[in-house]
Amino acid sequence: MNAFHSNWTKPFFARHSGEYYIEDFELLTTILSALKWQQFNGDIKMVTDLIGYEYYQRLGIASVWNAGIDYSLEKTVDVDIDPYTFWAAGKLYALRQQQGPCVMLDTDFIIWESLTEELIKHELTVIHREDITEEVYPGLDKFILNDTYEINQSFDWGVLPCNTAFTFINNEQFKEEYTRCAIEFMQNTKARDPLIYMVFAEQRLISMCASKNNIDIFSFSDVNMLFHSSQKTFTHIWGHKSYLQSHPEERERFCKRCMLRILRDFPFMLDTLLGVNELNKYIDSEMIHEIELSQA
Amino acid sequence: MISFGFKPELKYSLRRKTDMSYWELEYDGEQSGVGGYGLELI
Repeated sequence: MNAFHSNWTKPFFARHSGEYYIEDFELLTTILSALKWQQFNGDIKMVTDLIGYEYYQRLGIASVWNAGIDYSLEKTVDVDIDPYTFWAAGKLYALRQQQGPCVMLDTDFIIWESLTEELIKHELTVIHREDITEEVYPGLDKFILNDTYEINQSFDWGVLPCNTAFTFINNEQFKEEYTRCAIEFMQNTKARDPLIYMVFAEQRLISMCASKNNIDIFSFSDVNMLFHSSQKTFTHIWGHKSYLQSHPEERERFCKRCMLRILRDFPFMLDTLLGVNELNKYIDSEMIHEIELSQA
Repeated sequence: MISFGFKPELKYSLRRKTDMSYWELEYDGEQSGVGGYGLELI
């Protein structure tokens, strides 16, 4: 099963000045996500832009994507897309260009077992649905859009949005319609707001397009079940990233835990990770000794 | 994908206060930023 990660770097520069970087905990979960996908499910690539491509090359971690790094977002994302408001637009452009059934996977999402058998039964699979809350998913009257633009009147505003951190699409026509609708919406937004417009384009339009085309949406789980400690299949770092950014001790503990897991499960990564200055501080002699013993 | 924290994730984390998993229990009550799931699987 083919999957892709995506990383459009323009939103970073809408909020930061200086050199591009990715937080260490994000890098480690990205690596774990890519390697675990290959272990259990298939091929994975990174779709990014030139800055992203050069960053991964400089770090020396490009090999974690066995299907390579594609920097086509450099050219495919339309220049009129506001990276502040539509910080995940790259994901939709990356999806649009994929051929055949594919999984769209966030870099902070890790899958711990094979899902292929279940995925191929469905045209559209997501990790879970989301509730419609006014502050996140308001009605059409809250959107400030170009006068010439009109959202499809046959859309059902009652259908629950999808969380798209893990999404599988096995219907080319649907994929084309969803990404076209989302991109048209992004191009016709007049306001600057990084919450309601992005989630509408990415997570609500997918459900609306599916409903309009009578496509069933299979959800692996619901939020309550996912947060219950008994589930062993999915990890989504999600809002925990905010916690890690403001809690340095926990950040270090989390990064060491990720590093140990990567090295235990993929010991061939040791040399690569020792060469990454942003990450090698999380490798200690005890870890190296354990990995060497396991390979002896 | 790099999230800038604008998804409704904090909303979920607040909801999870009453449904502590193993990972959340480790935070000794400081749970407002704990908004992920399956973290203990790492």
